[in-house]
Amino acid sequence: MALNIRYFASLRDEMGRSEDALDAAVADQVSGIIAHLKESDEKGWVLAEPFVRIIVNGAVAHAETPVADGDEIAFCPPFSGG
Amino acid sequence: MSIQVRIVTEALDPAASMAELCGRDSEAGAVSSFIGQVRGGDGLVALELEHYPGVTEAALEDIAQAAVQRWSLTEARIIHRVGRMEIGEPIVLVAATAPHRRAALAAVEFMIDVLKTQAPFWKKEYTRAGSRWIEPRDEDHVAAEGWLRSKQDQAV
Repeated sequence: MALNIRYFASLRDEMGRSEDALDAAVADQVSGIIAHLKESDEKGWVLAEPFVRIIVNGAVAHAETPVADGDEIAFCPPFSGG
Repeated sequence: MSIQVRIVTEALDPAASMAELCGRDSEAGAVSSFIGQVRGGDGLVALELEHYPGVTEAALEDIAQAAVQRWSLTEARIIHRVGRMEIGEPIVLVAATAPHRRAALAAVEFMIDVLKTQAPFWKKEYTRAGSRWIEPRDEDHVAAEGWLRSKQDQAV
């Protein structure tokens, strides 16, 4: 098990990959994941941009949303459907 | 009352979908629809739509459900295509049936306005010069927020 991170659309392009599996000990809330990725990846700063929308296990989330082993955390640019 | 939400990768056939809806429900006196299609111009060659499987469908379901409840629809339908599309091809069909026209018309407007900024889809446009992700326009946010802010106003 792990924290399963997904990047969509322009954020996937920025990060250069569509997903990551992080050790669950890295963070207990979304802000910890962002801090870890900012530290460990030179492109990680983009995840802290104010336009980024976060979805945890299919539900709209925010920096303080708790995360645990097995969760899916998605980083999304603004939606643009239709 | 029924809801149908679908993500498709093949070409959309709005005419077939509307033929299915028309005349199906004896309580429905009105059928309305919106079709969004790929607009050409500015060197556009194609459009690519991406979604978040599972999560996007759930968001569309919530939007259709909200429309059904708010306007007492007999049916709500959202079919959205993903993948690469050429100019003129349909991207999305939103349709509603209701006892009366005002409800059907308002519900369709609500569903497409809210879908544009509240359901996880992303658009990339391909031009002769290259490709770029499209940001939602300010007016798209204003349209969606207008509906969401007036949630308590049930008068149609």
